[in-house]
Amino acid sequence: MVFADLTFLYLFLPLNLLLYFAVPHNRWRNAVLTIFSLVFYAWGEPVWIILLIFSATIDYFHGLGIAKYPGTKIPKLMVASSLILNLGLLGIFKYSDFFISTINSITGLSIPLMGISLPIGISFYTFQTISYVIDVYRGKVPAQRSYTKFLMYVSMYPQLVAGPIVRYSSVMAEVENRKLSFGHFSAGVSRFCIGLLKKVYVANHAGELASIYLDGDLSKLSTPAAWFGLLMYTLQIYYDFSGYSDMAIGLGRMFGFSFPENFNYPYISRSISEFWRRWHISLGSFFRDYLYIPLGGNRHHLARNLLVVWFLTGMWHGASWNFILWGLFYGLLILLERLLLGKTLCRVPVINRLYTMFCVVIGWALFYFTDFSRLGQFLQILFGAGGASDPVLGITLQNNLFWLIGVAAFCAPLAPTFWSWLLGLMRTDAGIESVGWVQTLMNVFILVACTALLVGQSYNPFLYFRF
Amino acid sequence: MKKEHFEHTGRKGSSWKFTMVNSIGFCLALAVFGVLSLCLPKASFSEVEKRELAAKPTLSVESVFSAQFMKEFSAWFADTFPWRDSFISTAHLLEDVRGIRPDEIKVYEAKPSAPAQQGTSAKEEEPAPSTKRPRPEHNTPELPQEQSAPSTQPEGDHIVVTPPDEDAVGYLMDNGIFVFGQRAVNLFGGSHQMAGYYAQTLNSYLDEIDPSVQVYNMVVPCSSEFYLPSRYQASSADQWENISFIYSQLDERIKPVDAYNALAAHADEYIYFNTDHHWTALGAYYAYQEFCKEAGLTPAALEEMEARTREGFLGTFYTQTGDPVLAQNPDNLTYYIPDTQYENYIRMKDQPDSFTRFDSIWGEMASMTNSYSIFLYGDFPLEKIVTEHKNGRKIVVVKESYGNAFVPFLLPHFEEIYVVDQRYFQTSLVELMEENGVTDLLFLNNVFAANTAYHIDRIDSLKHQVWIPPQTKEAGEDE
Repeated sequence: MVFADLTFLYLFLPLNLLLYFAVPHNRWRNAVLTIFSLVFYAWGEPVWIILLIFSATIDYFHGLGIAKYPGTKIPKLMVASSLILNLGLLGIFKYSDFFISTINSITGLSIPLMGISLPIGISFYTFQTISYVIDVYRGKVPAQRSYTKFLMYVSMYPQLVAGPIVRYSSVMAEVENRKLSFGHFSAGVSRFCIGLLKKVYVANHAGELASIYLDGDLSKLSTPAAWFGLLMYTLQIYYDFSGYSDMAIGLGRMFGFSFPENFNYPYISRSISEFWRRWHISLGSFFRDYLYIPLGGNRHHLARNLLVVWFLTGMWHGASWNFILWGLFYGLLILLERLLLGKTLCRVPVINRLYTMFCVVIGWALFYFTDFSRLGQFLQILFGAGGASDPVLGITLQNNLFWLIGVAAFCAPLAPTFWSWLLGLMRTDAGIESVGWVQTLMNVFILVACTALLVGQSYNPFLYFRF
Repeated sequence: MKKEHFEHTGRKGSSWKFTMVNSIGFCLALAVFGVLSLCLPKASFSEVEKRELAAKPTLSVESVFSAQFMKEFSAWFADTFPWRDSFISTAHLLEDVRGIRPDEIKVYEAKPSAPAQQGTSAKEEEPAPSTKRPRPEHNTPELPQEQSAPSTQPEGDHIVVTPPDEDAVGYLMDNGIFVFGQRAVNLFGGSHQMAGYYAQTLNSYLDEIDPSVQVYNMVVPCSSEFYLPSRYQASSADQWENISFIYSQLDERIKPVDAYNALAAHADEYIYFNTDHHWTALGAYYAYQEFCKEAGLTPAALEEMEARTREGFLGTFYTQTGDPVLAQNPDNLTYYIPDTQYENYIRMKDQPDSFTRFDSIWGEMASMTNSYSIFLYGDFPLEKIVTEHKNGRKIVVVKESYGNAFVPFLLPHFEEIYVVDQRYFQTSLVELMEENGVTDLLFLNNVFAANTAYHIDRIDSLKHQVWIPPQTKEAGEDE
C-alpha cells in the first residue's frame, strides 16, 4: 500500500486510528499498530512479508545474544551473522539478477536470470535492523527484550517502505511508552497533509512532465526540452521522496513517535557535501556511522573510504550500473571538495549554489537513465546536440507558470520562515490560536484537493476508439 | 527543521483548541468518506470515459497471495469513489490553474508509449489494473455491448483472432492535443513509411477483387491542418504532403478523392468539431461533393435534406483533457437526413451470419460525449443499408469512424451500401463483395488512421479473414 492512495486514506487509516485510540494501554496500541503494519505491507507484498518477519526475528535474537554474553566472542559473531544474513537477503532479492547479468556480460556466459521482483522496502528495513544490532553491540542502546515490541519497531508502517531509516535509538523510549496528545496529533495531521500535497500536486505532475521529455524518442528532443525534462525530474524526485518522508513523519507523530527528519531543503546547498547532509539524511548518516567512520573516515585512506562508501551508496539506490556511476560521481565531487573546491569555489556566494545545483541535476540524469546508450544520447542533447527552439515547450512553460514558480520557490525554506514570522507577529495566545486555525483550514483544502487529484488519477478515458 | 512551532510558544500544545478540531476533524473526514464509499450505490460504467469501471474483486486465497485482489480492490475503490465525477472536475480545475494560457493556448502533450522508468526507491506505485474493459462508442441499450474489437493475424495457414493491445494508444500517430481558444486539435505525426504502407495495402486489393469494381480512396485531413496557429505548424507534420504522398503511390486504377481541397476551401465554416477529433456532417458533405465528381454522381443539395441538431456535444478532445475551457464551449452536432427510403441492418460482433434490423441509421438516443454515435449508431462490424433506389449500384465503404458522418449522404445514389468498419469486421471482405455483386469500393480514412499501423494491418487482413467463434479460439491457439 502507499500513502497517496484512496484505499489507504479512506479505509485503512481511519480504521487504524479508530482502533489505535479506542484501545486502552500502550500494549494494546502496540498490537494494533503491528497488525495494521503487517496488513499494510502484505497489501502490496503478501508473500515476501516472510522476509520482513525473518529479518526482524533474527535481529531480535542477535540483539539478545549480544546483551546476554558481553565480553565474549558471541557479540562479534552476532554482528557478523546479522550482516551476513541481512546483506545476504539484499543480495539475493535485490541484486541477484544484477550480479548475474554483469557476470554474463563480462564472461560471455548466459546464466539465466532469476527474475525475482524486489520486495518492497527491503532496502530500508534491513538497514534498520542492522543499525539496531550494531548499536546494541556498541552499547548505544539496550537490547529489546520483547519480541512484539521489536517487531512493531521494524514493521511500523509509516516508515516501513520508503524511510526515513529510523534507528532504534531514536524511537527507543517511544516504543516502551509514548504520550498521545492533540498537540502531537494535530502537528502530525498538518505534516501529513503537506506531504500528501507535495506528492500528489507536485511530484506526480512533475513526473508526468519529465516522462514526456525523458521517455520519448530522444532523437526528436530539443536541448531546452531536455533541460526542462531533467529539471522536472529533479523536482519530482525531491517532492516525491521528501513528501513521502513528511507523510511518514506526520503519521508517526499521530501515533506518538518522533521520527528523525530526512530532508532539509537540499536544493539550497552550497556544496555537494552539504547537499548530502540535507538529502536523505537518514541514509547518509547510516553510511557515515556504520561504514565511513569505521573505515577510518577522513583520518586515513580518505580516497578509498569515499570510493567504498559512494560505490555502495549508489548501489543501494538500485541494482543497475548507472546508480553506481551516480554514487561514484558524488564520491568524486566530495573528494574534490575536500581537497580543493571546498576552500575555493564553495565559498563564492551564488556561484557555490549554482555549482551544486548543476552537479545535482546532472547527477539526476545519471540516476534516471538505466540504459547507458540513452544516457549518452541524452547528455549530448543536454550539451547542445539537440535542436535549439521548441515553440510547444514555451506554451508548456506558461501553462504551468504559477506551479513552476511555486514549486521552485518552495525548494527553499519558505514555509518555516513564513510560519516563524507569522508567529513572531502574533505574540498573544489569541494570535497564535488564530494561526493554528489558518493551518487547520489549510489542511481541509489540501485534503479536498488531493482527494480530487487522486480520484482524477483513476480517470482513464478509453482511447482505443478514437479513430 | 522545527516544524511544530506551537510547542515552543509557552503554552502546551494540547491546550490549543484548534489542535482538537484539526485532529478530530481529520479523522472524521476520513472515516465519514470511508463509510460513505462503502455504503453509497456504485456505478459500474463511465459514460465520459467510455469504459467499464473496475468491479469489486472476489476474495480468494490465490488472488490474495498474488496481490491481485488488493490491486483490484484499490482500483475498484478509486473507480467508484463517492461523487467521483465532481472530484474529477475539481481535479481538472486544479490542473488548469497551474499556469496561464498564452494566446489562449494550452498543450496536452502525448505521453510516450514506452513505460516510464522507475528510478527511486521512494516510488513504489502499484501498476494500473488490467481489469478495465473497453466498450464501443455507442450507447444503445437495446444492442449488445461489444467487447474490445479483435485483430486478426495470419499465423501459418489459419488465422488467429487476438484482442488488440489494451494500451492501444501507442498505435496512434498522435503528438498531443493543442487547445487554443475554444478549439482543440491533435498534432499529427505521420510518416512516408506508414503512408506508403497504406497506399500499398490498398493497391493489393486490385489483385483480389473483380476488375469491374471501381475502387476509390479518400484520406481526410484532420483539423490541426487548418486551424493550428501558424507559429506552431512545425509541431504537427504536414498532412497535405502526407496525403499527396499516399495519392502518388496509389495504382492508377484507384480513383483518388481529393477531400483535402474540398475541405480547405471551406475551412472558415463549421467543418470540424471543436471538442472532438471528428469532422462535422457539413465537412463530410463537402467531401461527398468531391466523391460525386469521381463517381459520376450528382450530389444532392444540402437544403433538400432535413437538418436536425444535437446540442451540448463534448467530444473526445474534451474527455481526454477535461479542459475547463472546452467544457464551457460544447459543440452542436447537426445531421442531415436525405430524402430516401431505406432499411438498415446491423451485424453485431461475433454474429457473422445474422443481422439485426433497424428502421433508421440515426442513433438518436446518443447524447453528451457520445453524440457522434448518432451517425450510424456508432461503429459496428458491418452495416447494410438497402435503399429504394434500385439502380444496381452497390458500394462497400471501408472506414473508421470518420466514415460514419459521410455514409448517410450516399443513400440517394446506391441500391445497397455496405459499411465495413475495418477494426471490427470479422469475415472476408472479398467474399462479401462477390456474394453481393458490389460495384464500388471506397476506402475512407482520416489521415491519422492512414498513418497508423494497426489500421493498415486491419485493412490488409480484411480481404480473406476467417471468423473463428470465440469458444474455439483458445483451442485453436493451443494447437
